Amino acid sequence: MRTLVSIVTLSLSLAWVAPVGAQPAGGADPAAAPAAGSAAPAAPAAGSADPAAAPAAGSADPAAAPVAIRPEPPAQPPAPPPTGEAPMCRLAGPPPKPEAGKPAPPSQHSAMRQVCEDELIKDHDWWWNLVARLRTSEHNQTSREITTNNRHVVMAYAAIWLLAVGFLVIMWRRQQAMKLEIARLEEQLRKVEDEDAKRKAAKATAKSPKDPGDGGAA
Amino acid sequence: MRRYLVPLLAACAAVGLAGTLYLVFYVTKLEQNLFFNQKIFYWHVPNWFMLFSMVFLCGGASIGYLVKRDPKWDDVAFAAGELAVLFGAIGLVTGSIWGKAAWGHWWIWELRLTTSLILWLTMLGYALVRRFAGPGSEPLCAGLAIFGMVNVPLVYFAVKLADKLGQASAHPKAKVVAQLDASMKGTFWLSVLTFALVCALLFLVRIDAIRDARRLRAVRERGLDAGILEP
Repeated sequence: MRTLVSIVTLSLSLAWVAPVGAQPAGGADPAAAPAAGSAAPAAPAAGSADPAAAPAAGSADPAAAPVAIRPEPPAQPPAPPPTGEAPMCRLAGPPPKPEAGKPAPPSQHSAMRQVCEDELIKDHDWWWNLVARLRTSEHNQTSREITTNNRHVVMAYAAIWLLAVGFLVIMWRRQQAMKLEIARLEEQLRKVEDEDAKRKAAKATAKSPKDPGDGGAA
Repeated sequence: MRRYLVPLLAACAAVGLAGTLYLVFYVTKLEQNLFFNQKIFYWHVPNWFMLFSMVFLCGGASIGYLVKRDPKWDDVAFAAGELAVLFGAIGLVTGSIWGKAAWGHWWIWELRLTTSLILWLTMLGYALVRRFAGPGSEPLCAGLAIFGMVNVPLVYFAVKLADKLGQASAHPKAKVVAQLDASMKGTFWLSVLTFALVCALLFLVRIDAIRDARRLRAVRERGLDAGILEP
């Protein structure tokens, strides 16, 4: 359930992201300002919309920030952690009101979204986790992991060698055993054939008594 | 000639393997959808090329054996059949790893994968029957090899066939090799050449081994005639 809610929230949020680079540090983006009474998770934008302004809070350690501070679950989501880094994008507020004379854009608000928002407000860490994922450094790290993840390639290459070497070892052992058996049998055959040849020679000499030096054997 | 051919092939294959490895990891561009995982392609696809060529060789030699009843054809078919089993096993394993990376599943019952598995099982059956069924099993094995050979086009065109049948195929419909970037194409064809060298090397070694096995059978028969072996 939590995974589903997370996926839905992320996808809905990312649909409304606004690039920070186009915004002033004060967070004057109208999309970021929550409507009155809205429990949208984009509420941090209300006070200090842009986390770039948040480093003034004091803690400048980006790694420790999301974990070190753990306040009581607030009625409204807290401001993003003061990492000192501007987010690449941020969770947006409610959809803009339709302009007069134009058809209203499809609403992203739904019962499921409401469930997500409620859960986000309850789970402080989850909220921060989502916000942290929208940061440039997080994006860069993830893209680095994706573009350099060679685990499966190495696995495939190792599998090729494993199977090929296994095949070669089995074949080599079988061939060695065959060669040994051939050598052994040929040696035995040679002995038998030598004995046969000697026996035949002996018989031949026995049949011809004039042959000198073999009379005793006959 | 044969004495120098095997070491020469081995040396060329070693150089090719090292070169391919370097190019795959450090030179070729990243594909834009699968990123690094796409690089399995440089080993997986040439491996299937070798499998197909070995199955064709096995099937062709089996037809030659059935027509002429010359044991030399049977030796060629057996060596190719065993190598088809090896390359098929490698192809299935590397494909499964790639599937896990690209689709998130080790295996899916998609038409091309299923026909590939059937092809590999056919060749495995061929190798097992040929090895353990004893003398007299050669015509049966030749029939199996021809059945495997007929299965190759089915595997190759499985994606198009699935499309016609209205089934979803996880494999791309377009001609992947033709659409590769120039650096990717170079690496890919070098990899194909390297796999071909390895395949030729293994084939020669296996042919020698099969001839040794035939020689052993002949020596055993002489041993039986001479009375040094019991039937």
